[in-house]
This record gives sequence, C-alpha cells and structure tokens, in this order.
Amino acid sequence: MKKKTGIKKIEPYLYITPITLILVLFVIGSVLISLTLAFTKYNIITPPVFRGIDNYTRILGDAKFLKALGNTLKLLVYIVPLQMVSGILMSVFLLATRKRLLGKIANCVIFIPFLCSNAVVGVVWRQLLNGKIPPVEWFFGLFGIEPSMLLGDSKTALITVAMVAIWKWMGYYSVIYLSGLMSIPTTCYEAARVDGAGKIRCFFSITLPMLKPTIILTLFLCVTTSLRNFELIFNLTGGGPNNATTDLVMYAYTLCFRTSASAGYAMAVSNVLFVVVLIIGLMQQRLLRRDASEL
Amino acid sequence: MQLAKRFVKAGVSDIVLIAIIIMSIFPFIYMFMMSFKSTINAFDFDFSLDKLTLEQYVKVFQVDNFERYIFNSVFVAVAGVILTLAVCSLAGFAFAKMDFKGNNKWFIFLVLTLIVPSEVIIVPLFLIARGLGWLNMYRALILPLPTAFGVFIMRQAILDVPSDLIDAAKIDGCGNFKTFIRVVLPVVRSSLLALAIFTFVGAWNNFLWPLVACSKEEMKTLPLALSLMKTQYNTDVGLTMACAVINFLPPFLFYIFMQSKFKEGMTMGGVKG
Amino acid sequence: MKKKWLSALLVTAMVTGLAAGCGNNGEEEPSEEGGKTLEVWLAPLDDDTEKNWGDLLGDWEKEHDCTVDITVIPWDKYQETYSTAMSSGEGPDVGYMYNEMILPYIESGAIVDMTDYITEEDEAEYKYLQNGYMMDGQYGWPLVTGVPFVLYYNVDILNELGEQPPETWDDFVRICEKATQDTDGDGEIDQYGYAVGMNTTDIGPTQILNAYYYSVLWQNGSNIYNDDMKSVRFADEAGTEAMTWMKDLTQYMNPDFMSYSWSDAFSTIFGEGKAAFGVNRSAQTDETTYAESYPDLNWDYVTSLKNVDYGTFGATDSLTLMSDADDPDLAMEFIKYVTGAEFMEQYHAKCPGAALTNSEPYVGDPKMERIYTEDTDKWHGIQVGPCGDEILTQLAADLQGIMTGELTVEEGLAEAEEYSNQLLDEYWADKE
Repeated sequence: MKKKTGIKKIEPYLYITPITLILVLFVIGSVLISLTLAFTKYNIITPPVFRGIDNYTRILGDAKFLKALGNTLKLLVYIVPLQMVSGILMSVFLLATRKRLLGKIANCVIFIPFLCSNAVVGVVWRQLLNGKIPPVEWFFGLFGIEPSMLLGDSKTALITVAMVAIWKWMGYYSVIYLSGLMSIPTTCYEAARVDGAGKIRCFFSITLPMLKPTIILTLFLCVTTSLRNFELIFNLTGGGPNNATTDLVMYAYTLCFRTSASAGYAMAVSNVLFVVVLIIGLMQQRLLRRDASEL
Repeated sequence: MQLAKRFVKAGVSDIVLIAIIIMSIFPFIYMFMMSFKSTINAFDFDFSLDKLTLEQYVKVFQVDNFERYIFNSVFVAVAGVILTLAVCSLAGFAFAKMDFKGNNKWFIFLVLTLIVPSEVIIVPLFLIARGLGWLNMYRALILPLPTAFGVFIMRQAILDVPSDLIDAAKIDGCGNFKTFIRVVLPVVRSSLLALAIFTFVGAWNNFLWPLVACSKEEMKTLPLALSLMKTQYNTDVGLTMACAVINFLPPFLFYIFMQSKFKEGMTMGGVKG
Repeated sequence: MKKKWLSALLVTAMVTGLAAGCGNNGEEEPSEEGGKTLEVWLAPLDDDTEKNWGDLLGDWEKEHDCTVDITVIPWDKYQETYSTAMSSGEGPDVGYMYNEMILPYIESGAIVDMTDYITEEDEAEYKYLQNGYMMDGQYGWPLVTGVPFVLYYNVDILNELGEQPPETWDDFVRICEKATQDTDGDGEIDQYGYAVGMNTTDIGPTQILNAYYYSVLWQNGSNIYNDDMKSVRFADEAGTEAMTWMKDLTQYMNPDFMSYSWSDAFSTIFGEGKAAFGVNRSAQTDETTYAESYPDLNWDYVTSLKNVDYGTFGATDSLTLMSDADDPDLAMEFIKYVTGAEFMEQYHAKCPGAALTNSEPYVGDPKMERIYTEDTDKWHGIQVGPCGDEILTQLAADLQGIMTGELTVEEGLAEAEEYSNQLLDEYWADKE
C-alpha cells in the first residue's frame, strides 16, 4: 500500500520530465550560455577568453550594430501598423463576401502564403522581382517603380522585405480576426441598425471595440513575429545591399558563422535583442492579465 | 436604381476579391510555371505550350542526395510531430488532471520559456548541440522541436475533458497512464491533430536551425537544398523552382484536403494563446 | 523551494555550458575495413564539379585503395560551412580556401604547413607555389589560378563609334560616354557603356570586389592593406580617386545594376550586345563557349586598363591540408595529383583553366592565350592579411552603398577604413 502511494507521488513528475528536460537543456541552457559567453572573446574554435564587459562596450561604438538595431526597429514600424490595419480590413471584407464563390476562393487562397516556407517565399519573390517578368514589370510600372531595383536599392530593400513579410502573414491574421469577428453576436449589429447607424459607424462603434481583445493579442504577436524575419531576409537579400536589410539576428549570425567567428560578441548582440523581446513579453503579460480581469 | 447600385457594389467587391486572389497565388503560379520550363535563362518569360517539360523534375532528382533531402525533411517532420505530441500531451495531462506539489509553478516556469525566440538563441544552441556531439545528427534537428506551447495547448484541451470520465475509468481499474491513453487522448484528438499540423509545418519549413546544425550534405533538408540548385555563379532558376515546388507541395496538399483543421492548427497561437 | 529550483537550474546550466565550451573534437568513426575515405571539400569550380572530378579520379582511387568523397560547398554558405564544421571537428581532410578566409584557420592550427612535403621536383614543376606561401609557410597549394577577371568589349559597338580598344581610363570613359545612347529612338537609353551587376544575395558579398573593385584600386596604384598589415590603405588618396572614378561610371552603367549579379549582368546585358563593356572571369575557352551562348556577339578583351599601373584580379584559391586529416600523406598525394599535369590536363579539357604545372600544355583557345603570355604580369591575387573576411565584407557593403548613392565616396571609404583599422588594432593588440 505504501509503495503504491510512492509511485503515485512521483508519477506526475515522470510525465512532465521529458518536456522539462528538453526545455531546460535547449532553452534555459542556451540563455545561460548566451549570458555567460557574452563576457568572453570566443571564436568557436579555440577556448573562450574572459573579457569582462568588453563586448557590451564594443556594441555602443559599433556602427554596424546600430544599423542592425535600426533595421530591426524599422521593420517593426513598417510591419506592425500595416499588418494590423490590412488584416482587420481584409477580414471584415472577407466576412462580408464569404457567401459568394469568389469570396470562398479568396478565403481559401489567402492562407497559402503562410503555409509556404520562408526559404521558398524568399527565393520565389527574389526571382519574381528581379526576373524582368512582363506582368510584374507592368504592375509596378503603374506606380512608376522598377521592380528589379526594389531589393537592389538600399533605400527600398528593407521596405520590400517588410512587404513580403506582410504578404506572407496576411492569411494568418485574417483567420485570427475572422474568428474574432464571428464571435461578435449579430444582435449587436441589429440593435445598432435599429438605431440607424450606418456601416462605417457600426465598424467603429461595434466591431472595433468588440475586437479589442483580439487586437491586443495580435498586436503582440505581430511585434514579436516582426522581430523574427531572419529566414526571409536570409533568402531574399542575404542582408544586403550595404547591410540595409541586416537585422540583429542576421548580424549575430554573420558575426558568429560568417566572418571569422566572433561568437562571444554575437551572443552579446543577441542578448540585446533578447532584452527587447523580454520587455515586450512582460508588457504583453501585464496587458493580457488586465484584460482577463476585466472580463 | 437600387438594383444598379447593388450591381456596381458587387462588381467592385468582385474586383477586389480577384485582386486578393491574384496577389495571394501569383508567386506560386510563377513558381509552378518556371518549374515546367526548360531554360537556364532566368530572364526568359516565354510560355508556349510546346516548351512545357518535366525536364527540371527529372534533373532535380538527379541532383546528388536529393532523395536524401526529401527523406530527411519527412523524417525530421514526422519524428518531430510524434515526439511533440507525446511529450506535450503527457505533460499537459499531468498539469491538467493530476494533483502534485508545484503543479502550477512548474507549468508557469515552462510557459515562460516561450518568451525566448529561437532565433535569439541560435548561437548557444549550436554550441550545446556541438558539445553533445549532435551536429549533423537527426536528434539535433528533432529534439528541440517540442515547445512549451504544445504543453499549453494540450493542458487547455485536457482541462476540458470532464473529470467524470476520468473518474469512471479509474473506478474501472485503469491506472493514470491507461486512463490517459484510453480515455483522454481520444477525447482531445482534435487538439492533437491541430498541434500535429502546427508542428509539422513548422518542422518542415524550418530553415535556420538545420542551416546551423547540419554542415554535411547528406543531413540537409529541403529548404536548405534550394540554395544548392545553382551552377558555378548563377542560380539555375528552373531547377530552383522545381525544388521549391517539391518543398511547397506537402503542406499545400494537406491544406487543400483539410483546410479548416489547418487554419485552426496553424493559428492556434493567436486564437487561444 | 525556490533555492532548490535555482541550484538545480544552475547545475544543468553549468553542465551544458561546460559541454558546449569544451566542444568535442568528434572521435572519428573507424573507417570501414580496407579502403580509406579521403574527404575533400571544394567550391563550385565549374557547373558540376562533383561529377567532373569524380569521373577523373577512378584510377587514382583504385591505385591508392581509397575512396575520395567530394563535397561542393555553395558560395553563399561557404564561410559558415567551414566555420561550423571545423569548430566541431567535422571538417574535411583536404579543404579549398581563398586568400581572404585562410588566415584564421592558419592561426588556429586547422591547416598544416606543407613545406616538408615539397620536393625539388615539385618546386620545378608547380608554377604557382609561391602564391600559396603565406605567414611563413606553404599553407595553400594553388589549385585555381589564372582565370582573371578581364574587360570584354563589344567590337561592333566600338567600330560604330570609331574607337580603338581602350588602354587607359580616359579611353574607357570616353567610349562609355559615347556608347550610352538610345539606339532605337524611343527616347529611352537602351545601350550602355558598362554592363555591371552588384547584387550579392546569391554569391559571397566580396565577389563584387573581385569583379569590379580590385582592378580599379590597383590600376590607380593603391591596395587593400598597407605593407605592415597594421592598417588599411584603400582609403588613401589614390584609393579615394579610384572609388570616385568608379562612382562616376554609374552614369554609363545599366541603371538596374543592383539587381544583377556580376555574371547575370555579363550574360544578359553585355552578352546580348547591349553594352560596350562587360567584366567576366575569363576562361581559356571563351572563344568556343561564347560562340554558343552569344552567337551574334562580336567581342574581344583587354586584360587590364592602365592608369598608374596595370592590375586585375586573378584568384589564387588553394587546396589546404587540414590538421584533422586521418592520413596526411595520402591527402598530400591527392593534392599533388589533382594539381599535377595528368589530372589537370584532362580536367581542363572539360573545364578550362590555366595550367598549374610546367608540363601541362596550354589547351585553350588561341584568342585567350595572351592572358598567360604577354599579359601575365597584369593580374594577381589579393594580399593575405588579418581579418580579411571582415574587412572585405565591410568594404563590399560600403561599395554597394557608394554605388547606389546612399553614401558619398568619402563617407563610404571612411566607414570601411575606420571599421577595418579598429579590427586590425584589436588583432595586433591581441598578438602582443
């Protein structure tokens, strides 16, 4: 009898051990290594040498780092508002047309880009923009843009990366918003219509407020995903031209694996990004908790 | 008058819908078309029917190790899905239905690891894998796949399983594990499927980690193979596109057959998280 | 409770940290009985290096009872493949390196000095051995050399303009200016002076330096490093002048030069007869291959222009003997064999290149031969210096910035110079 309770006692721990091991080894372990080795000069071949806070002081005077940080923040600024607004408008539109055949098709295909790997998206878009393809040239010609210069010119490359990212995630956000929209009871709209509110009025005074939890959620999702465009950048531009599309992750990667391996410094750079992510994460926790308590 | 207005409105929304459709799939149409074309010239956009050919696909399978890349991708994704489902549902069950000391704290601790984006820890992760001697091994690609997100999802799903069911099973003499397999898992199969889709697509499309963890040709996965499709200084566009199509097809076909499940699975983070 | 947690965490972290820090130098799996495996890593040397080499190695493998396992590393992942592999002891027995990247590997002891393996016959036979001599040792065994980037010109366009082949910078600019014009009268320029491509997404970033920059820098009498290797030289007066000259050429270039790689620019603009000049890596069979690829093109080339001096970039890429090699003697024999006349003669018949040995005859087209006879002093490789990869990558980025007008010449060069000198200062400070 006693033995049985003994097993019972450890049984739950057995269930949670595998995932705990995995997460502690890979995630917690990585974070701790990153925090530790950032104080060293380490070229990943010879043993690390302790250097105190050298790497962090080096960051302050590193023009490439500042550029990468700037690019990271710029990507945030380009992507977040556009992605949010276009996502909401798109989902409202798709909801209104969901009964029609074309609407059904659009609803289905808009999700396709999100299924596709970043490597494929990067390669295909690069070819599409650089390939001198008549329909593409014609389309961009309408706006007086030469598509092959979009990724080539350091002034437009980052925006182009942002646009491709928005394109890729469009389906994702419209699905999330759609489920948010569907959960708004139709009685709300009916009541508003009885009061004589127009469609636009309805959108601002019913749809948007009712969507608020979804909007807060997606805002944070959008912020975190816009910090994670390494794969897209790697395949679209490789970080060029003139580092115009190098964000912090790309920079850390380059430092560690491309040029002769400054892994210590690379980890210091990653840690800065990590702090940014952490702050955003904590803000999210707080906001969501407040939101939950309101319910 | 009203009628005319409605027609105009319908017309405008049709045009917008068509624009959305074209925007969403044009790059993929282009990808398919280029892959069926026999050309080494990237700048040639002449599609007459007699030029359509399967040559690129024949060629792509002649690329060294190409079958191996496909196998690697499939193996890593499938093993990753199985591993994720197993460890996450086990832990989810423990957190949801078992009473033990530190249950909540432990769970929160695990969920906190979600704050760390995988890109940020790529360098130390590489060092860990190297330290364990796992570089260029399947385990390096598969083991880091499960995340606390899966635990979170499974815990949510299992919380909704009525406790009566579980108690009934226990009265019938089932132990915890038996109850878990016989009673709980069948009830939450929908969440399992969603998590499976989420994990599969993530693992299949994974690029950065395999790039870092595998330097050996024979360990590369399909997304990495894309950049191998080139001649000395030029990308072989047709070949690259054929490889891209092969890379894109599995998630795409699955999606076509189970659209809503896919949407649910892949947006889990947004809807429930 | 909390303390327990913390200590458990710390222990795991330390264990993983230790494991990671120490690395493991991968115990080699015991090779399968009998035949040994020689692992060789190459860069893409032609359109199907693995097959082209593999086909020629059958006899040698039989003779030495071993298997040669060739891996071709694509250019855009070249450095990372080496650095990750070498750091985990997964590197090859024989590597292939170019001057910009080699130094860190020499310093970390990953590459072996081959001096002791060189016999007197070797010295007489291999023509370019001195190109692989660096940091007081024979760390490289030149494999690819003598396919310099040269300046091709469109004979028809030059004739139409009543021009002779250019010899100096002034000739070049004059012809470029005349050639940049609207030939079909639709108001848009459709013929350019200089076909250029500076996109580097697909290829290593420093390739645009190889194709366009070094020649200009050298022709104006400057260089990358100062002779003492303690600072960089490319931003001196001559270097600035060279960069300014190059920047001014943009008005004669195809305006979308940032969207092409250099080889795309050559094939689609110069190759189609839409530009007076183009730069390409020469091959000894250009006469034959261009006749197929560009049947209507009437072309010729000058190896190098001259301003202060002649100069254009001809890579010296070398095979290296890695210190991890299981059987260095076998690896060395392999290196000598594949660079020797017997192998190279057959290989060059398929994929032309310059003869590496005195006994290998010239097998290319007659038109290209003057690169190796009268013009042989006009091309060379770059200096091997510390932090080469970082410095040149930065320089290439700034070159792009300058050419697109994002930076002025002075800004761009100053940025690259400051960055490089800082690196060099750190490097030399570490040495002391």
